[in-house]
Amino acid sequence: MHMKFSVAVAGAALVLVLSSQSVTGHHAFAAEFDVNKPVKINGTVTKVEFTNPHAWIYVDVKEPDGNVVNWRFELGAPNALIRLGWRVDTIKAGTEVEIAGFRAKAGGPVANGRSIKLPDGRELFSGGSAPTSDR
Amino acid sequence: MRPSNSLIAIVLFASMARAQSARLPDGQPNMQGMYTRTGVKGLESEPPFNPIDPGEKNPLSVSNRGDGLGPYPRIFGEGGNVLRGQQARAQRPTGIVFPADKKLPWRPEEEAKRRQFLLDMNPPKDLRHIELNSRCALPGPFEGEDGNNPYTILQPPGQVVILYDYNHTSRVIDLNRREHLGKNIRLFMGDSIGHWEGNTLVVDTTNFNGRVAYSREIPYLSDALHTVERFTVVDENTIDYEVTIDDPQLFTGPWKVAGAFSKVSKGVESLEFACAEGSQTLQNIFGTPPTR
Repeated sequence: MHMKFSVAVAGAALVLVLSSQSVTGHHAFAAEFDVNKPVKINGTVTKVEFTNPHAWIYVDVKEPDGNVVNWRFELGAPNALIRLGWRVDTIKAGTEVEIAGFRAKAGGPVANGRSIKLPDGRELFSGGSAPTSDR
Repeated sequence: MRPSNSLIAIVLFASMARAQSARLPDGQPNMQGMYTRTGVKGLESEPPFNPIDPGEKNPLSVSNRGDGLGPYPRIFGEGGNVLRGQQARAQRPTGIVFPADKKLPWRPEEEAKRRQFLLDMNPPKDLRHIELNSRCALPGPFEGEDGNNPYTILQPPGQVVILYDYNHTSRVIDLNRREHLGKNIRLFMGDSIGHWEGNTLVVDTTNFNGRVAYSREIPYLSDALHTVERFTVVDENTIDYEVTIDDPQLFTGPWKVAGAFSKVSKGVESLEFACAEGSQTLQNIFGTPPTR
C-alpha cells in the first residue's frame, strides 16, 4: 500500500471546472481556511461524516518519519451533496485517495477539500458546470 | 372497517382538486408547494472590500491565484440545479431594484462602522465578527442559502407558513392579527403579520433582534429593521417576490430587493439541516478548544 505525504504549492493540474464566481455556502472560505497554504495528501479514508453544516472526510496519512496522522477535510453541505447523488457510503473507509485543498487558519491536520482522486483515476466533485450562485 | 376503493378514489380526487385549485377554503390564493428562491442577494453597486469573501475584481481574491486554483469547487454549491424545475423563470429585474443605481442610502457614520466591521472579520476580532451563518444563527429573511436549500410554503387557515430547508427553521405569518408583538420580544425571524391584496400576500415584519445579516457585505441589520414583503402569485409555479427594507438606524430611507420563488423539480424532498451538529468553524479559526 503506497502512501505519501506532501504539502505543495498547488500547481498541479486538477481536472475541476474552475469558477471565478463565489459559491454560496454556510461560511465564507477565507475566514476559516488559508488560500496561501495549499495541501495535497495521499492516504487511506478512515471515515466520512455527513454532518451539517459541512460533511467531513477523514484520512490517515503516513508521514516521512512513519507516524500516521489523521487529517480531516471539509466538504460541501450534506444537503448539496445528497442532491448531487452522493451518499454516506459513496467513499468507503479503506479507500485510497489523493486529496487537495487548503489548510485551516488554525493549522493542524485540517483543511478545506477541493478535489478527491480515487485509485482508478476518477476525480470526485468534478463535472459540474452550470452557475448556480445568485450572489 | 376497511375503506372501499371507491371511497379512496373520492378522497384522492378531492385532495388533487384541492391541490390544483386557485383558492383554498379560507379564500387564500393557493401558493402551497416547495420552491427555490432566486435574486434576493443583490450586490450594491460599490460594495466595500470584504476580507472574508473578496470579489473576483479584488487582487486578493482566491479566484485570482496565479495557478487558477480557488477553494470550493463550484460543484459543492450545485445542489440547487437538482432543485430547479423546468418552468420559465419570472422575467423582471432582480436583486436591489431601488434605488435604481444600487447605491444604498447608508447613514455615513453607519457606513463607516460597517466597513470597519468587515475589516475586523478576517482575522475575526472576536466572536461577534464571525459570520452569523457560521455561528449557526437562524438566517433571518435574507440568508436562506438560496442555492442549495428550498422553501416549503403551507397555508393552514388564517396563516402562511414558510419552512426553511436551511437551518431547519420556519416563519409563521399570521393573517388575522393586526398588531405586532410587544417591543421587548426580539426574534431572529421577526414577527410577521400579513394580508392578501388580490393575488399578492403582503407581509409586515418587525421585532427583529439585530442579529440578522443581509449578505456578506452587509453583515448585520439593526433591531429597528422593518420589512414589507410582497409575494405575488404569478402562476402555479411562480411567485414574484419583492421586499422593502427599512432600517432607520442604518439607512436614511428604505431600499428594495426583488426576486422570485420557483417550484422545484418533482421528487425533491426537504432534508434536515442541523447546523450546530457539526460546525467546526471556531476550531478551524481559533484551534482546538481546551479539554476540561
